[in-house]
Amino acid sequence: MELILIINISVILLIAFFVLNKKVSTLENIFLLLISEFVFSSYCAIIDINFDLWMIDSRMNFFINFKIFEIIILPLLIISYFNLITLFTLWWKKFIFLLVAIAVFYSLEWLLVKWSVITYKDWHPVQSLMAYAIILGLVYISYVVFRRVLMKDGVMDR
Amino acid sequence: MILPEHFDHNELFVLTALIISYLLLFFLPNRFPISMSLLIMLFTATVARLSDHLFSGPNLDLYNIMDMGTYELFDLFTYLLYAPFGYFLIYGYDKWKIKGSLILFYIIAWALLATIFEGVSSLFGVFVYKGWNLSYSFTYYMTMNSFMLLFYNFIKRKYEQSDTLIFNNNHS
Repeated sequence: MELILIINISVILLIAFFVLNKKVSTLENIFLLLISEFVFSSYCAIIDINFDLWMIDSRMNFFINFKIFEIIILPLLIISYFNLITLFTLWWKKFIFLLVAIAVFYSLEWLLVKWSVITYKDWHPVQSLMAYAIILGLVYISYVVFRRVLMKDGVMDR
Repeated sequence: MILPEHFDHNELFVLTALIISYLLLFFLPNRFPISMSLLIMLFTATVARLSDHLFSGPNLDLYNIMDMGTYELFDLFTYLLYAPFGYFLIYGYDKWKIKGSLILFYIIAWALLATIFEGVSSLFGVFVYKGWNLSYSFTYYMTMNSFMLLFYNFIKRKYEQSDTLIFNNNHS
């Protein structure tokens, strides 16, 4: 049941992303997807394998649940965030949207915790919220650098 | 990020290969816009990262990278090593304008080269196989090389649509 639900969430997110009127170019979206995948999978490996702060249930359906979250859902949410943030012009609206995005990221992780896919060992939910903020920051910095390179190459005007 | 327990032959091998491959990359004449080179290299590194995360992670645990089964600093360096490899694959594909059935031979040749390089790396202890076999790597590289070429053709179309003079054709 949980597996079907997480597959449904990922399919809905995929469809939503492709029908979304994107404000960010395809090349930027590809960059955002690749960098999000790299950063988030590294973060999960450090938390789970290196420091043993989480335990991911090794049963196959739980493992697949986690992988869908790690490889499809979260990176898709990150690129959707960077596409949607452009809709807001005022800084406080952008800030509220950032908080909403972090809350959405965490709510999905919370679902996995509730389903016992993830078991926290020496970990607190606040650390997850902080980690998501840092991940978004890292992705944002690399995105800004990539945008500048695109402009320098003459692919983008501004 | 965990530092290596002992700085020995596998770390030295990775560092040497990194220096040689990046020197080669910088001395090659520019062929693509920097942003395109970045995308090609990031694609290669990310695919390698995700594959290793899946195959060498706790559930499948088919091999270890470097000394331990953890995510070490030198694991990250191996991904940086994959990046120029993908770049050279695309560089040759574009420079020699490979088309038709030659693409198949090009993919097989690169898969062979990558498998030989991985075999040498495993002799130096960069990869420690548990349930993995070098012959699986050949299959893996054939598949991934094909995806690399598809990815390149896709982003190339996007660059061409941007109506900007982006290709450096002086070296074709």
